[in-house]
Amino acid sequence: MASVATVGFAGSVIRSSLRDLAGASLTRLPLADGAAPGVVRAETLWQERPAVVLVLRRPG
Amino acid sequence: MCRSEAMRLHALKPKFDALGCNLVCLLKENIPEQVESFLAGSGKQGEFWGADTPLYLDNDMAFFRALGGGKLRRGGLSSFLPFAGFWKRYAKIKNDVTDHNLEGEGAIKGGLYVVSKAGIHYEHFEKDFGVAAPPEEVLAACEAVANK
Repeated sequence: MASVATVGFAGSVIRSSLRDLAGASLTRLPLADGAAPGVVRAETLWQERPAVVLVLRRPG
Repeated sequence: MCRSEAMRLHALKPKFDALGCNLVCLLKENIPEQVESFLAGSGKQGEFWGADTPLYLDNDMAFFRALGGGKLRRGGLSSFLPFAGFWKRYAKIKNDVTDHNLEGEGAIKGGLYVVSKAGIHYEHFEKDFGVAAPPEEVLAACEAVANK
């Protein structure tokens, strides 16, 4: 976890570190019947292009 | 409230695409019926998310924890007191979505990141229920990243 906050675009406070996010394990949804779950490291989300990542409290 | 937030952001997908940015959504639990209705449903401003826009389960809640400064941050009942800001926010979006529910864990707060290989460019933590990242700020962050 980053110990020092920095300021991002639109004055947002960046408290997270890229390293903490990059290694996160993500499973693609919905899970396909009978197939192995598609698990990726988060860094693949922004490997080719920047990513807007919505971290949603609840999908309902 | 969450579906409205997702729908409003997803409505900007053509702009994100034009700026060369991916759009993805992370959930903290996999409830198949919820996922299905989230991907298939829509409201006043379009699809909640859309079957073709990436949706992932954050297996260890790493993003939720990072947004909370290393801890999972839960909202409390005080958010729902009669004069709390929640009700004002709810009044603004209550007609956006008719198909919604409270199934699943909904107290751990989320947020939004704009990330590239170079780093985190924008971070928004949902300080109170329904305090979503302003779309104009998210777009501005994407524009800035695209112009780098």
